[in-house]
Amino acid sequence: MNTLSVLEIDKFALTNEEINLDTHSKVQSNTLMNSSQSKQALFEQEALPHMNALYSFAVRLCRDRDDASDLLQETFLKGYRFFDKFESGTNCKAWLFRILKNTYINQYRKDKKEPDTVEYDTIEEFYDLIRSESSESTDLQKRIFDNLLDDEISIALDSLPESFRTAIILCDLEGMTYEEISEILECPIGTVRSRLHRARNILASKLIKYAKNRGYDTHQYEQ
Amino acid sequence: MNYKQQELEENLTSLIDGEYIAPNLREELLNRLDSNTELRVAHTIQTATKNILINRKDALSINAPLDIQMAIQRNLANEELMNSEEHSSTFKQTFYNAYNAILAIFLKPVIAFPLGIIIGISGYLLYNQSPNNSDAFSYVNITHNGNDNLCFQAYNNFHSLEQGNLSLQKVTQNKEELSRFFKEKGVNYPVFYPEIDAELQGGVVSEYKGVKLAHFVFKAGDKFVYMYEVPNQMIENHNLNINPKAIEIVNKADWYWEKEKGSNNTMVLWRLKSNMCSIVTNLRIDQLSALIHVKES
Repeated sequence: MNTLSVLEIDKFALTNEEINLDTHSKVQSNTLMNSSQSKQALFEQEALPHMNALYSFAVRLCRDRDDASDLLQETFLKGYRFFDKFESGTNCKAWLFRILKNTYINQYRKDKKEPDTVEYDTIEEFYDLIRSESSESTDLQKRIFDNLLDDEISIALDSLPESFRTAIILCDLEGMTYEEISEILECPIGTVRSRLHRARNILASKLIKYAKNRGYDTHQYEQ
Repeated sequence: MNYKQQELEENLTSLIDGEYIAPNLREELLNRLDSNTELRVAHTIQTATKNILINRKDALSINAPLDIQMAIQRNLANEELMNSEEHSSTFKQTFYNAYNAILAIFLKPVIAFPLGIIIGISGYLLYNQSPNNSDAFSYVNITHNGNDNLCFQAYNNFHSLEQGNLSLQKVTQNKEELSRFFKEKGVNYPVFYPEIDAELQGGVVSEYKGVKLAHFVFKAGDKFVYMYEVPNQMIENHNLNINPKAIEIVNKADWYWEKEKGSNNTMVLWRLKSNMCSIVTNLRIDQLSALIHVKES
């Protein structure tokens, strides 16, 4: 039928009892299908709610949305394939984050040229700036950080070395505990603590620089 | 900064994050915060930096695009399909092996000859006793109780469209004109058009439980894309129903995709502002998803 003409409304009746459609109501008798269907249902219930958090993490890791999209799809496929290895009732979010992080390391990071080193000079410089001042964190936050644009914070976050970036995102944006982070990053809790400490120092120094460049008065935090 | 100071500052990070630290260390940290300037500076930096990220969490979060969400659902569906086919071929192989073993027994002459006679006589008797042997296997009645099911209706309407049993009441490629037609025909809810790379052909208005409902027909190449759009309220009030599993997936992932069993038709279900939409077409899932864009007009 290539062309459609105007006909009667009754032809479009919605009660088609006599038409047999095998869509929703047919009961699956195959027990294998039932078990795989319950796997799919359980996976959707446990895993899909974390899609946005995983994508956000993937974008921050890859710093490229196309790569992040591929990484996210691969993570869910791997998660589904190995879902029988996941212990129901345990932390599905952390499990998926770990799959994503490992997939990223194995397949995506090798092309990225990023020196994964600590900017110690930046930390020391920043410490020197504010060491002698006695300022409260609420003051620093209200006077400087709260005036920063979301994009500036996002760029500063993205510019952190990968090991620090992942730790601070998982802790402060995803609200994970040190134990969860150590499982995802496969490192000791002490390393998580150390990375978080350094990550925040570097991030703070970058944010202060942004504020200064935009003309905010940072002299209280400088010598 | 000596190692001791570094260690103290790192433990201060644990304190700020609400993580466990030994009671004596905790006490020492709290005491030193008053007297140790460097520790106080560290506390200021750590707390302010943590707080700014927490406060900006929503702005810094990046949601997965709808087309990626759809792609993931498709991947899972394909994965499920492949698993089913693997199970099915394993079952077929097992069945085939068993069949061969049984056949080998029955092909022995001492069994095969008497069995052949028994089967022949039984067949003859059954044929003669059957009251209506020509109709005995001509119709298999499958019961469906989904007439108030939106997806069921969408499939049926698409089948009718394909078979030429329904035609457009309004032929137009103009959205405003079609919207006016819907309004004139008593569709009293706002209709929305998805961003779709298919040419609008026109629409039809139907009535169900006293409510006038809008149906759209698009064409992509020589394929029909049929869309059924109803107000969400009808679903919420259970005037129209949707399979709970499908609605659960729409709630979680925004889109529910399905390949119609026994055909090559594809159905997608999603919310378009205040309406629930269902598209049925004989395009493949990947072809249809490539046509639909995430914005609506």
